[in-house]
Amino acid sequence: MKRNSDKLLIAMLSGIGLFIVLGIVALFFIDRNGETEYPAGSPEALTQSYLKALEDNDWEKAYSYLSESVKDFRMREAYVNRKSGGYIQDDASRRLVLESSEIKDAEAKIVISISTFRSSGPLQTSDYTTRIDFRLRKEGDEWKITSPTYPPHF
Amino acid sequence: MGTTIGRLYFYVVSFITLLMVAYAAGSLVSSAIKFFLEPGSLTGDTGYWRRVLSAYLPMIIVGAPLWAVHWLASQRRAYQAPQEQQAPLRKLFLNAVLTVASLAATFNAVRFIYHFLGYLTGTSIAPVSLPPKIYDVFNAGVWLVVYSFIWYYHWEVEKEEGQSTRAARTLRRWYIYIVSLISLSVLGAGIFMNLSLIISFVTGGLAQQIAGAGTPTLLKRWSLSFAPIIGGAAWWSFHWLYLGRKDAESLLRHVYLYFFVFVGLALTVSGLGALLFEALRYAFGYRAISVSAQLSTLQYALPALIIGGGAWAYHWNVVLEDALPKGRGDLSTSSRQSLAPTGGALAGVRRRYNYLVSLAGLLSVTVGLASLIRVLLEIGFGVGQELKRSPDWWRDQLSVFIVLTVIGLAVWLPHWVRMQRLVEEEGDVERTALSRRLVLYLVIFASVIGILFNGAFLLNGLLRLVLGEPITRRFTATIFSNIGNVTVIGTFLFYHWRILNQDRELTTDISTVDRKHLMVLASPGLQNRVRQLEAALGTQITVLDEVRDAQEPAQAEVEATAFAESEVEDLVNKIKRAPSNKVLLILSPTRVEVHPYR
Repeated sequence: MKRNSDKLLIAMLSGIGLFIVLGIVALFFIDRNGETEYPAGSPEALTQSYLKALEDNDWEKAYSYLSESVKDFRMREAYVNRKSGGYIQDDASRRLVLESSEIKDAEAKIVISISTFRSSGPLQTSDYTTRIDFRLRKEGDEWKITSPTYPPHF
Repeated sequence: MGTTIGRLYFYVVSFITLLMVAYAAGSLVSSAIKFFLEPGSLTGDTGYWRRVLSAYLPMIIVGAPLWAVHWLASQRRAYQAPQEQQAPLRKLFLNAVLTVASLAATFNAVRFIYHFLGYLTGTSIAPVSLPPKIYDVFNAGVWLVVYSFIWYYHWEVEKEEGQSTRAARTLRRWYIYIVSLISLSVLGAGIFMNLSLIISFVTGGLAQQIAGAGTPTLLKRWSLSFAPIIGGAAWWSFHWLYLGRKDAESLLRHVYLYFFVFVGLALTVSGLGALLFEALRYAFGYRAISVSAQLSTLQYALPALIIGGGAWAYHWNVVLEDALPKGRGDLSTSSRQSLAPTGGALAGVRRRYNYLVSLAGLLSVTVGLASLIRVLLEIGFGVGQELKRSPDWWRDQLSVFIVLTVIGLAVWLPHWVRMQRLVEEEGDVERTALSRRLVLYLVIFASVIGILFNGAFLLNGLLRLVLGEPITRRFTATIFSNIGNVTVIGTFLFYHWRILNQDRELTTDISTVDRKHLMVLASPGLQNRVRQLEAALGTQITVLDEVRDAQEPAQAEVEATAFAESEVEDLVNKIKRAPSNKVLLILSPTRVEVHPYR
């Protein structure tokens, strides 16, 4: 006859097995390219385009999303110099999520969280999340970024 | 000199002055070699000899006579009074010098071979970019000679004096196993580097050729990795295979063996985990930018698997062989079962090993499963508007946490179940073992603290939610993480709490031997009887070696026969019934006395 502790151990193992199976099932069905589409011309859409340009190492394009009021020679240099170094080229995977957005007249505040996960095996993983507050201003028909002006680190 | 303080003074001074003189002599010779071999590098350095001579000569002029006076006085005393040769402090000094000299000689042997091969082939291994020069070869050679000479001299002194006391044998073992442990680590690191280089050449072959490093260069570079292999293997073989060959019943040997069984298992599991992770990622669509990048994991995983597996198999096999009764040479199932920790100090080492591995496995399952639950909840609830997500985001996390859970289970379950079965078979001895209690209380304590923090944060989050705080991704990720932690830690807390209570309920007599402090004053040659008692009592006994008058006939020098089973039983009962927690046993070949004392 089995002891109570043996039964408990079997129940526990069954639970663990269930979660492992769920994990494997999830691997089959997860959506690989989740991305929210924002209305064109919205501050969220502009922030999204800016972050995409950074991730694609398209520095000219990223620079073009900055407000005219913050653009200057040194700022441009800061962007152009990233070209050679390959700013975001590593084996980490990232998830960029909109935490909140506030729009008041011609000013907007977009809060983004960028989670990074890096692993080269089950015993060598690291993950961290950074938060970036974007400030935007409407210039003509377009939203432009006024802060942060330097390419954010993530 | 006869007092402990006197000995301490003479040996400490000898030790310090010896190392000081060795350092100064080696540095002086090295500086002279540099002057003759690389005069160009000293051009314009007019103060070179002034600096060298003023730094090292005083050390030799002051240190050498001081060392000679103190060491020769110790030697004279040791040869006038033979018992001085076995004094624990003298043995500590000799073995400390042997250990330091051995390790320094190993390190310099590796340096010497590396520089010699590097000089011959004109290559180096990253991160060193320049190949070694002839001076580097001589420099390493000088230090190798200095420390080898110190080692050889003290080795001869120690060998001549022998080890006739328990303390002398113990200190000798410390020396043997420390040097074996470090030299085997050097050997393992060398093999790891060697295999890793081979794999990197194979997987990145084309890229290497394009980068200008042709096959001959790669082979030359690869040859350098033989330096730690040769140096480590030489010292390990001498110390472990030769000096440690007849020491099967030593406690320290078993600590050493189980240490490498544990390290081997950890390396194997880590290598296997990395391979499983990559396989799972690959199966679900991960593709690196190139084939060599895709296979880069192999540079770590395969060497870890091969070295870890080899270390584990070899040391486990030695554990099995040591456990065999003398004269029986097969490792049948029954003899493997003799590994069960049934009592005594060696059993304690095995028990601690099993619980330590269980604990490491349990930690892995806890972290892996709690994170897996968090990720599943995040996927299921899909909170947060995503601006962008790498295609690997969920796949990498699911893969890594599934693998972490699986390898944790593969480590924890067999070791834990083995100990549970043993508790059923052995009863109170196992159930009340200190290591088992420690593990159970440690798990329960860590779990309670984990629940306390995660539960508090979870409640805080839920309350904020109820009170209208907007749901953001970061907020929910924290809540999901707390839920995962509380679920997993809570389950393991409940399980271990039940086990602890069960142990308490089933323990019939915990007031006996485990709580007693046992000492035995034993005549020489009765170690087998002491071990027999330790095994029967399931606890360790402090042994006092009886010192006999040199004139007294050595009647007990002959190894006494073991106790009969009934004698052991009778003795155990006497100890259990002794009306004190402190018991002194007096063992002689003809009688046994049990004296309770305060």
